[in-house]
Amino acid sequence: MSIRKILIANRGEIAVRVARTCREMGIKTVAVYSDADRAAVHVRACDEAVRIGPSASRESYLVIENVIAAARKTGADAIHPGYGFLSENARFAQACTDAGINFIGPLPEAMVEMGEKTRARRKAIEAGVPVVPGMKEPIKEGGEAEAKKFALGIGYPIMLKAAAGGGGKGMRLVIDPKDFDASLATAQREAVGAFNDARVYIEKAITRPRHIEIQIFADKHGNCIWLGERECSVQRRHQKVIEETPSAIITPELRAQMGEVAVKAALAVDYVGAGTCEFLVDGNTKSFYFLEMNTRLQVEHPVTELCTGADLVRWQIDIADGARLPWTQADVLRNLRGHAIEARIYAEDPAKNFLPSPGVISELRLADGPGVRNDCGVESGSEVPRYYDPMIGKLACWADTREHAIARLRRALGETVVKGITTNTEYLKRVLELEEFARGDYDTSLLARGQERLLAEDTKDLDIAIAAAAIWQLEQDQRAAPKLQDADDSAWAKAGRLAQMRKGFSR
Amino acid sequence: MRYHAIVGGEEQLVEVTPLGTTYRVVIHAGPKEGPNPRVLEVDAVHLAGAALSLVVNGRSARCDIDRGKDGALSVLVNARVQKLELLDERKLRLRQATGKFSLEGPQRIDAPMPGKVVRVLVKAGDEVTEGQALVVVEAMKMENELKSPKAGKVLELLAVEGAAVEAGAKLVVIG
Repeated sequence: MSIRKILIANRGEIAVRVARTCREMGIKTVAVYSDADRAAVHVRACDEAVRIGPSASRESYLVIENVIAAARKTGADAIHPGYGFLSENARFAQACTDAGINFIGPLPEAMVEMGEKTRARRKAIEAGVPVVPGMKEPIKEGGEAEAKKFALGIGYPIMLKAAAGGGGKGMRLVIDPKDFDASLATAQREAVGAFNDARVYIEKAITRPRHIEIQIFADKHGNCIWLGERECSVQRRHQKVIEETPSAIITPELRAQMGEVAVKAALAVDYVGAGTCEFLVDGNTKSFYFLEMNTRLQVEHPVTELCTGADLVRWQIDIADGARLPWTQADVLRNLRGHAIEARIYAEDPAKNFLPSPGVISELRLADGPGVRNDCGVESGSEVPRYYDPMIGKLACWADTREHAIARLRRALGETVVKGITTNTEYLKRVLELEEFARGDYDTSLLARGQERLLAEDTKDLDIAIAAAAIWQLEQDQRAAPKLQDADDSAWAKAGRLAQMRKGFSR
Repeated sequence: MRYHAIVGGEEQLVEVTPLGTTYRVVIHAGPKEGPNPRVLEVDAVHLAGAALSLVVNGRSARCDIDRGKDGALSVLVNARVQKLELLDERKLRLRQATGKFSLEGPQRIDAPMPGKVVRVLVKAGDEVTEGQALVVVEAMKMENELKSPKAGKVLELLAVEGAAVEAGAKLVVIG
């Protein structure tokens, strides 16, 4: 049976991105939206749209029954889950299957094996894949004391991680044993909020690690290949900020080694579709440890697309439809070229401790020119709701070398203008300017170590800014003034102008 | 026209004079006219939206202007955001009268954005130190700690654990 209509069970930039490929493939699309998202870009990017509940994601995008009902109502024969929300929820994948809807992703069984991090670790150990020491099961209710003992056993620092998680939510580094209880409570609360699952487990924290992941793809005929790595070590509080491929420290031999391990892990659970094996790599020894497998399309998939030339969403859809992998491993090696780097644009204020900055985007201008790709979920006039993740889009650049790709992304970030809300674009540009980053000599602590340089005040061009503000203000004041003194007009015209001015002032 | 630009807590006097199609902008280092002001001859053209194209001594710059909810201006020049406030004489006097410049007197801690109070870490009457966490507000799936701007005592405590709050809602008053 071939896929003719896909319901996209997501919002924002990823929903728009999936819809684009569907259009290119001649597949009809169905958007789902919460009350806060009625006017969102992704609703218009699709052919049909169904309301699935109130603004809170727990009452809309996370409600399996509502999403399935929307698919039934519109006759969608497949569901693309995007990332986040229900994308790694095996119950959702099962519900799709039960409803006779093609879930674009792995089988529920593989998701259970890999989606839950502790099980994935056990599977990896069975397959002979090196892992970081940690708990094989999540912390049980009432098992806090035992967990604390375990943490002391493997030695601090430790990492608390949501069993159902990903994306840095519900994840806490604990350096001092006395912070264990507070960190556990926070991790559990965030885990409930993000995944509706409070279970958390413990892992030993590797100091100065690099976070490098391997993209894999498997079809329903037992074929599985890797598509190179992505280095995601530029993180703030375990939230990825900038990703690149290839990694500055991975040699062709190490890439093949890690790729083979990732493929082995995937084959061990009869994996199907797009998946990502995350590894911690010791920057000095280059030893690598399997962390987890993400059973979905990743936020940062565009860098892989830029360096391979493949459309990963098209592959996902074709494979869900029963097609064989279009490439062999040798094809991948032949097609990999150049360097790609992506920056995540967040509605947040770096100067205010990265406080989210929801609100209406009064004007949006995106970068353009050679080698630039925008994946954006908003436009001028869009409201960034406070209910969801503050990422509004991704800016990715490709060039022949790492140096050129970085320069290109810096240039493109400079062209990006978001007005009305505060974003991290300037911060991102400064990250690219960090000397350690330019050298490729960095680990997951880069942003914490560079904090002062990244947030330092920069008064270059301050005089130009002051001049611009003063000229702008002068013209506003002059435009406002004569209207008050106008005496010849009718009373109606005056009342009208006055009302307009009041509007202007209250803004 | 004279304006007072406040940048990083420092006040600078700015004089703007239209000269036909261009402007002369004189920026003094302090709040009063000083001996060596910076003088800019500026050719300015309005672009769509709140934006200007400036040519200053042959240098070309696009300036995007954005007024925040608090009235402060963000001016984007060459991919750098400069934050400043621009006050005329009347607004400056008003500002000085309300004493917003200093941390003297009771300080209100407001919800910076809509969200939910997940934890209240102090009680009314508690002595607090500068930088001490007072309330944790969750918004957009992240928890944000609101800290005390000064050492003092919790005079009022309006934050309630579990309560939804709007942006600008008064949570704590420190005196």
